[in-house]
Amino acid sequence: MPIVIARRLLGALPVLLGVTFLSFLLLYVVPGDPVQAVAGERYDETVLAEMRAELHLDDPLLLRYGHFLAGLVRGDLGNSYVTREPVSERIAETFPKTLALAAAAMTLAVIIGLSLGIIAAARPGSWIDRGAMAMASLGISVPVFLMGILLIYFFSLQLRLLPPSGYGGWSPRYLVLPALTLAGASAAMIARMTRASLLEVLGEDYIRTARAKGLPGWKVLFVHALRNALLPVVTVIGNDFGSYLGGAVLTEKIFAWPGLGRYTLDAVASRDLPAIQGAVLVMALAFVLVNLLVDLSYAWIDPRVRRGRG
Amino acid sequence: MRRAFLLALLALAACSQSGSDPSTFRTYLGEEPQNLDPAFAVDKASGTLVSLIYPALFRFDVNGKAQADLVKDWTLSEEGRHYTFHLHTDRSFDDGSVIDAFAVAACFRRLLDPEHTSPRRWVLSELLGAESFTSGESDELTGLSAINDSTLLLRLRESFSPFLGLLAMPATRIYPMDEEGLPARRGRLPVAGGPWRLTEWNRGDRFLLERRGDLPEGAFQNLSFRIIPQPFTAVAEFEVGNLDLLTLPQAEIGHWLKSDWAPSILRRDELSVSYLGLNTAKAPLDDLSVRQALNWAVDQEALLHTLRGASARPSRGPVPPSLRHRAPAEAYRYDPARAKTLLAEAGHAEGFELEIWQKENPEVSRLLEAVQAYLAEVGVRVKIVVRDWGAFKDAVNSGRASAFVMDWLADYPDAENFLVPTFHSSNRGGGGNRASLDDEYVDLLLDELSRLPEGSSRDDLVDRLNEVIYSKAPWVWLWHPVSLQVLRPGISGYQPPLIFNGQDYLELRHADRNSP
Repeated sequence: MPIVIARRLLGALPVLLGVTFLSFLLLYVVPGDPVQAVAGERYDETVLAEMRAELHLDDPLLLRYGHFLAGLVRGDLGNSYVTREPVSERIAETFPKTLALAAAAMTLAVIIGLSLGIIAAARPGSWIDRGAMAMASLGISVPVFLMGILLIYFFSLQLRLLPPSGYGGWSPRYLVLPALTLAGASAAMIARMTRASLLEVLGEDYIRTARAKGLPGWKVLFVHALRNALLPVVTVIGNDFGSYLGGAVLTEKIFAWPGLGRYTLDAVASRDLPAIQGAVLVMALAFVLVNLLVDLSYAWIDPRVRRGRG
Repeated sequence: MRRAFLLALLALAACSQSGSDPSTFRTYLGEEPQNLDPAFAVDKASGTLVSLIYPALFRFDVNGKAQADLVKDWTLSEEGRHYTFHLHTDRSFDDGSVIDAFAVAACFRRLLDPEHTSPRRWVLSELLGAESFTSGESDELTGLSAINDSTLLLRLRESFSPFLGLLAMPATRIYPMDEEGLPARRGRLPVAGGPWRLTEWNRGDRFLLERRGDLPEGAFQNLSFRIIPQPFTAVAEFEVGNLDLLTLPQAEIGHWLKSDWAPSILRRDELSVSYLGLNTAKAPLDDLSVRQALNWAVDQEALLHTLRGASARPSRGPVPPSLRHRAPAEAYRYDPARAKTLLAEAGHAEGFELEIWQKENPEVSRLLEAVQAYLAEVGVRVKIVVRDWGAFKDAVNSGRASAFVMDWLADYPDAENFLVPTFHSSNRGGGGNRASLDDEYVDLLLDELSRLPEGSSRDDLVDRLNEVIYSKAPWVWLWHPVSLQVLRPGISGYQPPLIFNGQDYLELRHADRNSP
């Protein structure tokens, strides 16, 4: 197993390099001048030229990329053009907040999604099934933005139960609404996936055997069927979790959540290249790691995967 | 199941329910401040905080008047070029160092120093010798000298009547420096010397400031700035009682004006102007009649009424009403027939195609869709180009955009700030003159305006310039925004400031909120 992990991590290096180079290239091509954001609404051209020189913006693309890589090897992501502070500091501040939000959202999504999916699959065609799937469709189709506003309206303004926004110094009360907002679509997806996958498994021969042995229905469902039905569900979870780690821009904006998504959005708006590069790198790394975890969990869930590899 | 869920929520709500702390005034900023180094504080949020943390020779009051801060008294030489400032000698920074004339001189010097490439150099570029100093030709900055610890001499190249306003800008704040010549910090917090000190800085989330010096009866000891990027969220925070001050977002104004809050809504004409800029260097907009035709073709009143309601005043020239004495004698009004005639006379009877650029913003999109319809009536086929702020700004400043929607915000409350940067030919592009107006007569008048001392002949010139530029139509004139704010009851002494850094929060008092 450790060898597999090491090989996968090594294999991720070209991916990370590719991602950084592509984003470097994109930012080079996209119109917009980084020093204009720093200069404000009134400036003279000579200052801009000096700034460009100071930030090495006039250097050729490959040279600049080389500098970036050289810094990276030393663990230095460079300084933000705008705040002039180390990018790594800001990422170290924002990423844990995004991680907390993503983890909370994913936990909620898994709890809600799995429950709905199992309930629906246990009684296919019943009103419970239809109700659960209607909720799931709603969850997928309601835009995050509307969901956030509705949750703030009900839980903060009407019921006065939870604070509308902010992260409140790690108080869990502040995490509930943004996590629910973010969880909505994933929960719905997980519910549909669980239901479909469970129904398929429940039709298999070994389930009939289990039932024929006289095992109680819940045992058949949870012990025999669910574990096998989980593979596609884990894939969905991994994908969504990976993308949440890149920062949920809209959710973070609505709830004034100081995470990586908002940081990246601001960096893109001001063409703050080092900040964008740093953020993209962290996002890519997070995605790679989550995918690795998903693959490892396949082996744990389904012994066939393990044997196939070994 | 549902009951258990609700119980869990209630438990969550009960734990760590933070009651409102009466010693803190709670407000917010719409965006994260970019940089708290005064030499780089170019955005509104940074400027607001910098002005609270650091002292300056002058500071703006809520009405935009420059009031002495570090300055005890001052004299101006007869020809209006030599300022002698006598400073208070009893002020100090939080690290114990004295705020004297030498500290002021060091900060001003840094702003102009080529080593530091401050984008705000232009603020002190009127100082004698500033040009050769910033270009690196000379080590000496002849216009700046600290005679002794309480006397500072500033000499200008030419007289410049709004000069004191420049000394109240965020860029000219005074701060202690570390060995590298950067604003000194304690940990990550700046060392303060102004009315407030920063005690907590959770980036992207909240700034907490503490009042320096005496605390009068009923005054707020702390000032909290949340960062809330989404206007709707700020409204929700105000409604649940987590904010004491709310700037009403455009979409909420109608609703609030009809609510119980209506009597306590505070209005303030902003020192800014929203406009549709026309690139006068590009055909066919280089033709005066074409630009005037566009102004006749658009129904400014209807646009204002539908899109802004109570939150704007029509613009009659670039200078906001509070900075001028009279409006132009003849105003454009909605007259498509006249617009068509003008276009035909200019050889555009068939109309023409026009690209109008905008940044991503739903309010601007609504405006431009209406403008598109108005211009279609006179044969001008508008294509709306939407870009993100970075790409948009690049296109406008480089002159690639033919027409564009923008705002101009005052740096200091003087009509000059709405005329010289925005229309002098030397400021074309990033200097502020984004319409690329290049008009000898206008330049002549603008040069004279910069030199004239305050008084009636300067006031006349402002009105004349406003009228001349209005008629030359480098912009399609839109409006001057009005801000509407709501203050929580039980707090007194607050007035919306005329200029963004004109509120120091020192006069605020809490009465009712103190009682439980």
